[in-house]
Amino acid sequence: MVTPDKTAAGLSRRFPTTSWSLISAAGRDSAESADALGALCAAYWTPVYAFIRRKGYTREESEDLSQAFFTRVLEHRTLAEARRERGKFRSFLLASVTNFLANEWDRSRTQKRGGDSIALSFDFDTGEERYHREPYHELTPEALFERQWAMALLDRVLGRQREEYVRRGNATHFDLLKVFLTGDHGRGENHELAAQLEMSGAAIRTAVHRLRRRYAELLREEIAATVADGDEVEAEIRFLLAALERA
Amino acid sequence: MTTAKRCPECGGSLMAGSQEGMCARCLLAAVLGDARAAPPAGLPAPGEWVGCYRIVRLLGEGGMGMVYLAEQETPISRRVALKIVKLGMDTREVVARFESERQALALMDHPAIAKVFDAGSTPQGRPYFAMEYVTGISITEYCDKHKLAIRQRLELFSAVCDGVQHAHQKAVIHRDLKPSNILVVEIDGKPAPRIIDFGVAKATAQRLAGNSLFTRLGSIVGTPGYMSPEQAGGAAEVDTRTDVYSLGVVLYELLVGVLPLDFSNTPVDRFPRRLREEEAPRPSAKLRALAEQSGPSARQLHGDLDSIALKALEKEPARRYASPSELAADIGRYLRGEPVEAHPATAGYRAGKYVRRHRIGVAVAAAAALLSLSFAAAQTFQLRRTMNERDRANRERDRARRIAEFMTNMFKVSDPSEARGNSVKAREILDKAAQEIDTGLAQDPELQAQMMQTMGDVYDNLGLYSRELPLLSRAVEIRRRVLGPRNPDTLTSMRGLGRNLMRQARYAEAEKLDRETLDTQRRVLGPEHPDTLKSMNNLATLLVGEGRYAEAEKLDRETLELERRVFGPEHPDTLALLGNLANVLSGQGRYAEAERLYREALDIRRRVLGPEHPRTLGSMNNLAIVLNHQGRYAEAERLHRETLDLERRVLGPEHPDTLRSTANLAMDLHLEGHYAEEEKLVRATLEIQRRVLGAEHPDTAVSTYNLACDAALRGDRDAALSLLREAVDHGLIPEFDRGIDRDLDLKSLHGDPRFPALVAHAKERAAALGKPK
Repeated sequence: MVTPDKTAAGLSRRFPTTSWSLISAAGRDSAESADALGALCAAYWTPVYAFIRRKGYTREESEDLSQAFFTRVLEHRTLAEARRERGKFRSFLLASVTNFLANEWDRSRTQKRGGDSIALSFDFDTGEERYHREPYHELTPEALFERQWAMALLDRVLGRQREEYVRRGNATHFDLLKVFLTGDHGRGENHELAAQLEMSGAAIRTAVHRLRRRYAELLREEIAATVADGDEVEAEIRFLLAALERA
Repeated sequence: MTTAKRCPECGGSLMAGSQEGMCARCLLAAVLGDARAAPPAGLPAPGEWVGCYRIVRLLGEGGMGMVYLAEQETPISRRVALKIVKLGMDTREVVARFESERQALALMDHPAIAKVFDAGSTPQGRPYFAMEYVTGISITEYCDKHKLAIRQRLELFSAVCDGVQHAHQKAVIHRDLKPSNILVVEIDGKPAPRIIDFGVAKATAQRLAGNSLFTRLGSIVGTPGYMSPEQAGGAAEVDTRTDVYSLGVVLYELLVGVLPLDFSNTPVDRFPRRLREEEAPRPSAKLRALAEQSGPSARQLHGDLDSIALKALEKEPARRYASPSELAADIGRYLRGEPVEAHPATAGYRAGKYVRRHRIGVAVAAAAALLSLSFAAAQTFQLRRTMNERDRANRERDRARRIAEFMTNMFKVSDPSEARGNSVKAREILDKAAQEIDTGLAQDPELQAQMMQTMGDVYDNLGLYSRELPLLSRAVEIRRRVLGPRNPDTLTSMRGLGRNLMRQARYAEAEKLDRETLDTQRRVLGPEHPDTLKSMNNLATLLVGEGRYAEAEKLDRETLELERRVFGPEHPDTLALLGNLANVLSGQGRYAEAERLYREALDIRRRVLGPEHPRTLGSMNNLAIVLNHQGRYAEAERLHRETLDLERRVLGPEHPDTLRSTANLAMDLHLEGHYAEEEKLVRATLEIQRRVLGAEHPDTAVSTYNLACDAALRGDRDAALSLLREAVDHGLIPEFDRGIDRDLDLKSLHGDPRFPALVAHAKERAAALGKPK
């Protein structure tokens, strides 16, 4: 069954659909999998940064460590482990960064910086800002990683969805309707909304319904790209929900 | 620090502005369709710990309690299924009873038995069991889903018996065998049973005194239908034969589709008595009594299988099979066509058995598979006209009867008085059916077309393309007439016909048909419909066959993108397309690109389909070819040999794929300079190709061409020229025709006056046959 919304999926260049299961299966030999891995790392670097930061490193150290860590990941030095584990990208990243901080930091510090290593550009101001936004209490680095992971994932999904609306020339619709993603609150203001969007109440309800359905599709798609098996998606949603509730 | 805003839905603080002012928790919860997602009171939520297990998610709810997927991290990291027993049971007693059997359970080590690791109590005081996490589905569901034939069902069931037998040898009785406790997983593409919950029933069984049994029914033991009479009657001790009875019920259900006795409307207090006194009807009789036919025919069950099932279901334990292995042994005898023990051993019976065994031989299994295929076809038949329920039922019944009659007739292949060999092959049955279907089911053209399609598929799987063609042509014709030219089934038949024409290298006809099919499908079904995508793939494959690589590449990339989106990246169709795209790249000489795609497809297939699946083998063959193209002959040879070994075993020595790999191995050998070995291999292959594929098949022509090259290299010009001529006149593809004068292997012919004439003839033929590149 093809829903009308579906035609917009997967065409985005800014948010390439990548699959962790493919990467972990293909390993170092595949150039495509390297690109895909790069895309995944670019999407999920903030939890790593927050994790390192919560471990007690300063901002500058954390930036350097994040750079060095992702450089190593992208040079595929850790992918063999990934293939062995066949787990989720999230678990792989957490295990790898833990391992990196424990064992490999010293070695990587002595290696030449820059040179022919892979260039990464992270917006560390954003990372720092997000890190500080977290309630500053007893969260362990691991729990913080999981929360930040959930946030990064949701950001990406919202970004992808907005992109779809932008491509259809409906960015305003998205910006005004997205609040309904989390529930039916604010229905009382629909008159105002209807006027802003020049839509009838019924049309808005349909649009909201579509928005929510598509959002769910995109979220599942996005999660599916980070796990080894399609059947782990629902479990992952529950896990992330639990991670957010731990605060 | 800013004051945290609160989510209007859940009241939680909005922790990250990054979600554009929205509550991250509610965003996730909304997707689950359950904003609160609160677990029932007293049950663990995902992320919580139970003993040393962390709950991942709820897998399901059974009569006995809830089953969770959980993760264990120490001492080993693994996933387990955690069964948490409902309240109302004495946790200490359950755990104590489990402990008493723990040693015996630990001794069990059998592929058909899922291990039970541990038992304990949750923080809320409920008993739990941790066991091996098995991702299969129940045996009955599996058999129906995959439309397994009787033989396959019996084989699978025998494996279950083996597992139960192993447990009995370790003094463990299951006590609660039923389909939902017998899961089936696929290992290397083959079904394998896993019995779960060993030791659980015993630990959770409540003391059998007075009416306590009745409180158990439906809540702990589950469906009473699988319980032995002695167990239901509250016997103080049951023995291994109680499992034999339950196995008998499962066998019955696998053969007939329903339980031997229906207790659904029986009040709980009358159940033990009914179970004790009421005899199960013979499976064949039960099947006949059921209105709708599915799976096996009553005829197949009549006799031995009836006897086997009823012997396992004897009320008196002493009259049953003494053990699961005896039950399995009798099934084995049935499968081999030997007299079964369950049957009264009269002289007439034994003689009849002997005759049948020798007349039909091994054909029975294949024919049974064909039969069940036909039933499946009939069952999936969709009635397009509206009619009331009774008409519908009557119609379905008539249909089933017609198929049964038609297929039964097919078994009367030879006159018993006629002395001819001792076996009737499934092929003969199929051939006869193909001949007679035109008249045999004439009164029901829809059904007739469906059967033709089904038989066509069987021929296709056997690689007998020329026999498939008339069936598919007729099916298209009938469906166009009866269902109309735009009907999805008509279009599917058209695609099948196009594929068949292509396989026989009748490219022009195939292309015309493919384009017509595709255009109609795009209009009628839509551009992303799986059928439409399959047709795009078909057309691209055809273009490759004709050497039109650029067109094929464009179409393949378009289709691949759609399939990745619509089916997902690991779907068999997506992978097939990946392989096709690689073929196109390879055809254009872009070998490194092609190699990468082949490896990607091969890795996924090995993982998803298993190392012996025909499609996995296809990937191996393709990868080996592209290695050869890159001059990596030794690597190619090694991989081709590996592929060929598997293909000979899995597909048989005469299968077209096997032949193709043989020809490819010959090419490796040739390029490595091992001419003698190569020529021997090509001769042997050519002989089979002529017989199986026919003299006009492109693959046959290529082998002939290769032999010509060998002859030319030896300096035997006469032989070389005559073989070349044969290849050109019998199916050589235009590309080869055009390249004859440039082929270095044929250099020794260049001085011969006959050679230019042959070259001209070949180019002429190529111009007539092939399209310009």
